[in-house]
This record gives sequence, structure tokens and C-alpha cells, in this order.
Amino acid sequence: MSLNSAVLFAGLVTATVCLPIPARAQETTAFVLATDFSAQDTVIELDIPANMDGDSFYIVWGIENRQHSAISRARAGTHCYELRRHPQWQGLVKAVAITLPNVPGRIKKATFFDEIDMFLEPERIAPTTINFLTGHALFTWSWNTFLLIIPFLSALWLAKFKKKPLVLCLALGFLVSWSVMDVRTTYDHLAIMYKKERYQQGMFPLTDVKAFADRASEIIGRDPWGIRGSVDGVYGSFLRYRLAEQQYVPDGSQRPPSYWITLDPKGDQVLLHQANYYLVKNHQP
Amino acid sequence: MITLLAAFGHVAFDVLFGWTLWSLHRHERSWAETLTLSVLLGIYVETLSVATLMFLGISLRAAGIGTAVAMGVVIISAFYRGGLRYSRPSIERPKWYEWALLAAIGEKIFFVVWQLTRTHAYFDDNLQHWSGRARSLFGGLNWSLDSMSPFFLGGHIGNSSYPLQIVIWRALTAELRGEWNDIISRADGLIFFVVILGTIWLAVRRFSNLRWLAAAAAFVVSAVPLHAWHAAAGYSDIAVEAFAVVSLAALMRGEWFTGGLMAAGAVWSKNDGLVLFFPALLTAVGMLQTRNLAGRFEWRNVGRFLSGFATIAPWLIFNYIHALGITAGQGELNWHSDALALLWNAVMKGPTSSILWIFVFACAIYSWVAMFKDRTGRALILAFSVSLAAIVFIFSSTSAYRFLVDDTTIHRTMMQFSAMAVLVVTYGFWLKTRSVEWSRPLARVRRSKTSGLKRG
Repeated sequence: MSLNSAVLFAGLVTATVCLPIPARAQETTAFVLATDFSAQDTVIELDIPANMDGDSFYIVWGIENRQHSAISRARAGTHCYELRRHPQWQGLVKAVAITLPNVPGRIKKATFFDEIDMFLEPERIAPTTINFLTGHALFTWSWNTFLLIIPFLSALWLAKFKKKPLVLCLALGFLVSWSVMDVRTTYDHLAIMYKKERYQQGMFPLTDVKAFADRASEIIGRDPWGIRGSVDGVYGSFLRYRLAEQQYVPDGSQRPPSYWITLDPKGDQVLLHQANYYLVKNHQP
Repeated sequence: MITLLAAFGHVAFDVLFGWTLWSLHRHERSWAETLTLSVLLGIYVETLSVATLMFLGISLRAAGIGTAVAMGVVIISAFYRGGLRYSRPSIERPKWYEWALLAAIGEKIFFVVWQLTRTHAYFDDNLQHWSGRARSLFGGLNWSLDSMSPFFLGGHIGNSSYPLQIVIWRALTAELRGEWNDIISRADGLIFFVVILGTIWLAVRRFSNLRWLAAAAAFVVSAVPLHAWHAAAGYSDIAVEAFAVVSLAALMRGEWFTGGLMAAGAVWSKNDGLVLFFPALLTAVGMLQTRNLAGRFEWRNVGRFLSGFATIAPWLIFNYIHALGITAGQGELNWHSDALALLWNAVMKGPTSSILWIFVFACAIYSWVAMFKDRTGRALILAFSVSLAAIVFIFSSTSAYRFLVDDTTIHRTMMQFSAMAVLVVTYGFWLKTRSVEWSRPLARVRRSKTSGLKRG
């Protein structure tokens, strides 16, 4: 099978992959990178075009009769993507595929520079960032493991050369480790700012709903509006927030709104369409 | 730019009002301690007054204007009567590690300001409970105080049982600005972040008189990875953290009424304050009243703390009348046997808090005995334990267990607790190692034949 050929994982992928797209599950196609290889010590390398930077995608692979997947964020340029920490990335892999179209990629053994490059993969802004961070790994070890070793090494150095009590050395060692952690975090912040400013791609995954809501707000004006059907999760929250100063008509209200925001226009007159979102005029009294 | 000016002008007015109130009674605080207290007191009194007027049926705009006029009258009359007391600000020349601290904090502030100015409101709870409701309140169309309305306290967009401090403050800032925007929806987080760091630095400096230790503690808190996000996310978790740690610092100075006021502010920020921090702070107040475990108890100071806390009564009464409750989920108790393992993994192994809690708990265990022998230490370690026990209980035995399983709240709750925890263990560490030559921790020590340890 050649690279980027559309694959046959599609059925399986649909079952397991739940991309952050509003409303229902959507058919997702995966593109094969390699087949029949040993997962031992391998990572995948992708050549991502600049306009895809930050895009969320799945890496899907099959071992024997089972399929596994891992979510990742695209980095513009040629970069490796870590799979070795995934417990299911082992043994003979029948095929590995990604859900990004037209992206060349390959399987390889990570070099020293690849290891450093993967370690420097920045934290991304995601809806989950407010609750937890994804963290980093170096040479397949959790970054926390290194941060735990640093205090003891620092303490040994301080105890030997500064002749301070061990407890004080450990405390100072913790500060050294915490500083190293903070330097890495600072790099994350700088990378986030740089990428956002350079690629101007908006705030994934709210980019479409924001563009839609900004325009819908102008069209709706002072008239009442409502949501027909369900717009789930953060997308619905964003719509209600963005239009919070305009008269909202909740579900079940006796007086219908002048406009509906919906994912399914049902043949109504569409005033605005962006991605999955429709603004339709309500003609019913 | 105008929005930032409106937001910080609003804060400045609150600071001035808070400073005026603190000037009305004698205290022994530094100007910087008074400043951090003034920020929070101004926000607390202003928003609670506006809320109380709104509960009585007055509109946001009228309540805001009335409160602002009253605050202005208090400030002006105190000024003309000579009641405004302030100590001259004194700023010492920073040492190298303080420059490093300022650089680390400066980076966070830069990142926060970038988020405020270059990104829009993004995170779900802010879009719903905090800025969603605040924008509805500001707009006036989707807001009601009629409990039968779907818009009751912005219930169509967020949780109506959540307190209103942040909601009202943002709506008032938008009134001041004349429009709503996404900076207003999040800018207060930066203020709370700075207050937290200032409070930690000042509290450690006060009890230890060691600049490097104060800088170290402030640095540890500033670098907690979630802080840089929460300072620009528009959530109330960072507000709870600020009020709780300022309350604890006030109690360490023996300011009981102030401690109660700030504890009330934590509750007014988010219900977590009532469950996770009020019992701990009350425990600290109680333990600080005895010279030893069998000593005489100073009920009067407990009364002062409780009277400060009682200022939150308008909200608690309103909450009770409308049966709003304090939790988003069902109130049933149910032990989850895997919760402790999940907590351990989330707190000790995950990248979100990095290695913070490993060292916090190690430090607490190391200084436990010394803390129990010291009156302040005993109060602090018990307050720490009560908060920690409350967190474990909430996540293991209530419906909040689901927020532990899906990782949506546990790390935020630990972040709320982090400033208080760092303050407590820094005190314990200092207590335990007081005999060490502290003033220059990196100075080399060599053995002297005649006088034991000497600094080289």
C-alpha cells in the first residue's frame, strides 16, 4: 500500500474516533503511512504543511485483529510523534494510519535530535487545558521523572560543595527542579504565542462557531433567537455566551423566536451557513 | 486599551475604597499588606452591596450607581476628616533572586495579557457560569430574579447556584466601559494572581524575615502550571484561592475580623470556599486561640472571625430562600473505592501540578512534629489537613467523584489549595530549620576548629 492511500480502516475508525466536531459522529477516513513493521522503538514522522499547524488528528494502528488510536496535534514542518509510551504500541503492527489528508509520513527510529524535538512539542490551547495539561516526555520518560531526579542531584552537589544540611539542600534542589520546570513551561507559553501569531488559525475547535456567531449576532439584531435541536458542549455554550445580550428564547417557550440557530435547516430559508451551523428565519407564528 | 483602563480603573476605585475601610480601625500592617487586602475588600463589599440591592428589586445599573456613590462618599468623607491612614511605601533594592522572581512572574503576566488581548473567551465554565451569566446580567434581557423564570440568575446559560461576585464585578466593569468584551470577561484573574503572589511573599517575609525564602515561596506558587491559564480563563477558582490565602495570612497576623471577611469573600467567589476552605480557616482560628492544647480559649476572637464571615449573610439567606444549594450535582453520599487511587494518580503523578504536591506533602510530614509544638504551626497544619480531608471527602464520597474520573475539576481544586498549602509548608519548613544559618542559603559553610560552623 502506498502512502496517503485512502484506507480501509475507515469503518473501524468511525467506531473509535470521536473528533471534536459538533453534533453527530462523522465518517472519518484514515490514510496509511506504513504496513507490517515492528513497533519496537519506532515513532512516526510527518511533514505537516503550515496551514495544518495545530489541527487535531488521530493516529490509528492495527495489531493482530485489534485497532488502537491516539490523538495528537499537528506541528508545522517535519516532526516526530511519540507513540512509544502508548502501551498498545508494541509487537508487529499490520498498518498505521493518520486522519490527516495529503500528509507524507514514515516510520523511523528516533534520533537524539528527534527526542529533543518531541520533548519541545508545545502544550496546545485546548478546551481541556483549563482542567489538565498534557505534559511532556523525554527519551520516553515522563518529564516529571526528570524533575524528581533533579532535586536529589542538586542536593548532592550542594551538600558536597556548599556543606549545607541535607534538608536545606533538598529544599534548594526542589527550587532548582521547579525552576527547570518553569523554564520548560515558559517555552510552552512562547511557542503558543508564536504559533498563534504566525499561523492566525483562531481558537480550535471554536473557530467556526465564533465566525458564525459573530455574523449571526449582526443579522439577529434586536430580534429574539433560539436554538433548534441541540448544539452540544462548548459549542452551545459559546453561542449562548456570544449572543447573551440578545433576547434568547429557551426551549418550550410559548412565543417562538424570530431566528433559529440549528445544525439541521430542514428546508427553511437559510440566512447564514458556516461549517455545521445554520441561521434560519422562523416563519411560524 | 480602553477596556484595560476601565477594568483597572474599576480595580483602583475598589482599592481606594478598601484602603479607606481598613483605615477606619487601627492595624499593624505594611502598606503592601494593606494593598493586597484592599483589592479584595473593595471587590467584595462592592459586589455584595450591589447584589443585596438587586435582591431587593433594584436594577444592576441603579444598584451599581448607588453603591459607587456610597463608596465615593465614604472615601471623600474619610479623606476630609483625615481618616485615611497610610504608611509610606518602602521598596528595598531587589537582590538577584528577586530579579529572577520578577522575571518569572513577568513572563506569566505577559502570557496572561497576551491571552486577554489576543484570544477570545474560550473555556466552557467561563462561557456558561461566569461570563455567560455576567454578559446576560449586563445585557439585561436574559436575566431575572424571579425564581420561576428560566432566566433566574442566568440559569439558562449557567448554574444559578453559583455565587455572583465575579458575575457582578464583570457586569459592572462592562457598564463602566459601556460595552461587553472578551477582556472584561477574564481580566480579573490577573488581579487575583498578583494578589496571591503578593500575599505569599508578604506573609513569608513577615514570619521568617527572610527575603530569599519569601521569594522562593512566591516563585513556587507563581510557577504552578495551571496558574498562567487560570489568570486569563475567567474562572472563579483563582478568586477562591486568593481570598482563602489572604484570609489565612490575615489570621497569621492576628486579624480575626479581616480573616472572616476574606473567608466570606472565598464563599462569595465560588461555593468551594464554603466547603473546602471555611472549615479549615475556622479550625485555624480556633487553634490560634490557645497557647497549648489544654489552654484557655479566646471565644472573643472566634466571634470576631465569625462576625466578619457573617457579612456574606445576604447571599446565604437568598440562597436558602430559593433553595439554590451549593452543588451542581445531586447531594447523595456514596463512597467510591477507587477514588483514592485516582486521586493519587491525578495529584502525584500527572503533569498538571508537576512535582508540587510530592514536595508539599514531604515538607508537611517532615515538619509535622515541629508544627504541632508551635501555636501558629499547629493551627496551620490542622487547617491544611482539614482542607485536604475536605477535598478527599468531596471527590471520594459525593457526586463530585465524576469530576475526578473525567479530570475536569480535581486539578483546579488542587490549584485553589496550592497557595494556602505552600504558605503552610513554608512556615513548617522555616520552623523546623530555624537553627540553620538562613540569611545566605547558598553561602559555603566550612568547619571551624574553634567555633563549629562558619560561613565562608
